[in-house]
Amino acid sequence: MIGLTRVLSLLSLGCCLALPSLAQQVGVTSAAVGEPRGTPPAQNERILRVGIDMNANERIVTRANDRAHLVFLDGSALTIGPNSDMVIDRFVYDADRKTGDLAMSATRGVFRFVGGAISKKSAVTVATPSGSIGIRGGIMTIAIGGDGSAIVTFLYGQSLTVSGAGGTSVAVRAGSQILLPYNGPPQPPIVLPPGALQGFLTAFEQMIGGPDSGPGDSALVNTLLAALNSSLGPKGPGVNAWYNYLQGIGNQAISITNATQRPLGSPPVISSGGGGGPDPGGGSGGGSGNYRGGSF
Amino acid sequence: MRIFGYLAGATVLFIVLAAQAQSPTPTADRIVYDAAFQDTLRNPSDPATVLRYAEAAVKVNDLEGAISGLERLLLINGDQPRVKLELGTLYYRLGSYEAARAYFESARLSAKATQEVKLRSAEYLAAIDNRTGKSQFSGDLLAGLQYSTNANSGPTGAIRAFGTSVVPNPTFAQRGDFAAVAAANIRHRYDLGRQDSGAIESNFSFYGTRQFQVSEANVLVLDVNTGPRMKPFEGWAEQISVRPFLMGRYVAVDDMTNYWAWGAGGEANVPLTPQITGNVALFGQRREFLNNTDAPFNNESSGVEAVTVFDLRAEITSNFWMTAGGNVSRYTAVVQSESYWQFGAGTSATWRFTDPLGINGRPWQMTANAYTSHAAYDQVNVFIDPTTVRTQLDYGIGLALSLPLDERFSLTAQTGYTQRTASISNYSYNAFTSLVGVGWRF
Repeated sequence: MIGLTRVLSLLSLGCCLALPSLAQQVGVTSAAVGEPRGTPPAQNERILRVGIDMNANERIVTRANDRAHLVFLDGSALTIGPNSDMVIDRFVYDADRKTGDLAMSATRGVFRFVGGAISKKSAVTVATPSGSIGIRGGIMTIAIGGDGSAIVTFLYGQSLTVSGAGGTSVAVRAGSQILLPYNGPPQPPIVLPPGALQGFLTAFEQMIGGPDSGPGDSALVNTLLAALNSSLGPKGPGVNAWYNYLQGIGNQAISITNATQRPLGSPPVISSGGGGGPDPGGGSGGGSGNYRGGSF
Repeated sequence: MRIFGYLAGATVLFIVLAAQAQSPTPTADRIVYDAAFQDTLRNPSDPATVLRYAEAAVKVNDLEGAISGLERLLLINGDQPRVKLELGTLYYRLGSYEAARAYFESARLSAKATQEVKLRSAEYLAAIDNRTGKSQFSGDLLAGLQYSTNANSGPTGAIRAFGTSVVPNPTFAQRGDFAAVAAANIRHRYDLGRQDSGAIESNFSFYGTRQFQVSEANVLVLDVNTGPRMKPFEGWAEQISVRPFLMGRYVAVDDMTNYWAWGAGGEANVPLTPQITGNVALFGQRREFLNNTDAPFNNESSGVEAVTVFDLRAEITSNFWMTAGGNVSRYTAVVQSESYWQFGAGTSATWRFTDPLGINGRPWQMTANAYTSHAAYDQVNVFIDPTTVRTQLDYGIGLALSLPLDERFSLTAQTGYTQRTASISNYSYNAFTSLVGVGWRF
């Protein structure tokens, strides 16, 4: 019996010693500014450089001049702004089924989360000192103040749920913001006024060049962006759709006028006989753009 | 009948392309996307790798993926107006207008921004202004010159009266003519500031023609509708928006009132997938035709109408989209010979492409459309032909080209052919119509 106990103890010690090398990879450091630091479980703190793997239960801390961008294996991305402190609590991902579970906790700082495959099927959660945040299929930013309160901005997605002491608030409209006070219920979402985000996104940008690492060669970037070509200008409905619709109504009226000029008396003095009917000139379905929604 | 073949072909193309965009099996684009993502994990510091991923992500409509790729570039160097323009575009496409605005403003104000970047950013900012804010007006105006080979919709066949053929007065034979045309479509949206994007939406349309010679074909159309838009559902249907509305219309022909119409209905906008949106509308309206010297028996056409309209719009790529749809109408007139059923179907394809002549670098837009419509009347009209019930088959094809002159003005040219065949030749006609005009959008 003593022998078996010794064997099990050795095995368990061996497992513990092997933990650092067996830590579960959840993603990779994809960009870094300054010296953001990561501390995987049971390992020493290290400076996060581009390409360093991120592990489950890893704690990440940034100082005033630090920023980091992490990409998770499901395609989710997390930008960590200056003076931030957070932990990746849980990451489970089935690449075949594109499902999983992602949970994080943050105690201070600013963060931007862009959802990947996991968030499209289940909520990704972030625990904060004042409550929890869940986002489905989208993009959000979180700012946690020194008092533990949080401002959560819903930039896009299915829904953002914020729960605090004694309450829950849900945003479904892009461009909404929820204030989560410390020890209080979250406030109802407000729709941000025009221009409200102008300065906010700069927390995630580096305005001065420095000894940083990551993909930032702007000359090359500009060349490559030409291939992306998604900025040809905003699309409108096109002038022809509503114009055809109105033209159809006008033609219909002419036809009905023609049809009602019917011959009375002797047949030879007929004045007209053309057209008529319900919908000449294009009164077909939406494909011709005539009966468009909202323009009947 | 060839139009049915074209319509069927276009519909099949629509279904195939839309299905391809939605296919659950990995497409070539999806495989490229997955590989590009794995490349970014292996080589995250290479901008070319990141941008290949962003490009692949856009192709499979994973706009969030493209955003995450591009935003990481700004972490290293925030003063990249071209990157911000792309990011703004992606957020705009997602409907996240304030995030888009932040990137466009930043791109436009950068000292490194090229003229093209400033121009595009300004265009998008104007479009965002039109879509946000408490009270928003937007609209399109068009003024131009139109020519029709049959301005008065004159008949192509023999004229029937009391069941016999007659010789028509030449005044009412089909006549080609030029016309000055003015049209407007003005939209107002009052945002209620609610999470369900609730808003009061109102539309006002105007269409007027002044013929050079065939004054009896002068037309004035005023059309208005208003109603609240909301997203009242939760769960799987939460993205469906509905809008009940009231509607009204005034139509004059030859400077005399032809009819008034008023009614009510409802419409629903249903995002089926990220690329495909469905619209369905039902409405009923009363049309009150007024007699006048041109149409002394006009009031016999007065009646009530019930209409169902549905269409699908698929964004095949970011620069090519198609629509397909149909409508069913029942019109019940005071006189039964003017009552009818009507069934219609149509399709369109729009392609946006780079300025081929290098005039100002703004993208041109071309739209082709085709439709068909069948109407069957309830009873014979004894004054026309006591033995034949009126039925008719319409079809039409059209092509429109829009060349932007600057942010708001564009040059528009469109041409189309319409043909109607009918069981009674009085109602058969055809017309080629072309328009050249200047459009203004605000």
